[in-house]
Amino acid sequence: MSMRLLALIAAITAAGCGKAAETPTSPTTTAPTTILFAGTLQPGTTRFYSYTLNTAGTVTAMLASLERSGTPMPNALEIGLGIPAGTGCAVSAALNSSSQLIPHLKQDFGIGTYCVRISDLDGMPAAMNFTIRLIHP
Amino acid sequence: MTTRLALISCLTVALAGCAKTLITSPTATAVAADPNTFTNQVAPGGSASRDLTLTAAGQLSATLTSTTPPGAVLGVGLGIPRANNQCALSSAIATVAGASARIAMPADGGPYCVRVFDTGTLTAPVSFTVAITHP
Repeated sequence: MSMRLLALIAAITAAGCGKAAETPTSPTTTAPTTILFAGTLQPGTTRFYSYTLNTAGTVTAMLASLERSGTPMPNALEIGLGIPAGTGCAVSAALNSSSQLIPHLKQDFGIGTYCVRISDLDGMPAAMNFTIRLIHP
Repeated sequence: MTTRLALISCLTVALAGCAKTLITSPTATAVAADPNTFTNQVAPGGSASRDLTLTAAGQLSATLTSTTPPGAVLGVGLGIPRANNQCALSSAIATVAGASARIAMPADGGPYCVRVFDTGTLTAPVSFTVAITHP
């Protein structure tokens, strides 16, 4: 009986107080891709940027800045998400808004080639520099 | 008797092993600069910016708490850092330092920046301190 107890204690000690050895495993997650689409928009014009999704998922677009000579401007521009069509970008979702730091648009897409478009519909008084932050899977 | 002594000895060794896992080392407290305080200088026609990262969505704010010399008007703006190391602004205010010299915007998680700049009124360099708050 005593020998059994000794064996039990030895087993507990060897087990390291219940801390069994574990093999760490890394979760398989794919970090989202961030694209900064920046440029100059002339009054009354449109510009777009095409990108490819290798994984289906949610795409967000944010007009993060609109500046003229380094000064932020309150003008509203149209931001749209869609697919390249001919020499343009046919948007399936669009919103007219001034710059902000939260996404203007959020839409789910499958694998494929898509585009983000910025347009001046209201007629800006002068050319302005813009930055769109696009995040996709 | 010998068996009991052996048992007690084994239990003591076993429990001592467990107790070791509870011992913690004292942690040294490092004194570091406050990452939410942005202090720098703006020259006439110039600007200075600080990048920061929001780990979660929330309110991003910057308050111009002081300038040297006092009473100087500076622009304080919030935006996102560009690849050319510039801070592209989304919104900005022109203000003198004070508790109400604050700009705040809701922001998604990600990289952002605070830029302090001359709005066209400076004739000499101005030192400033901006307090930044974010999630």
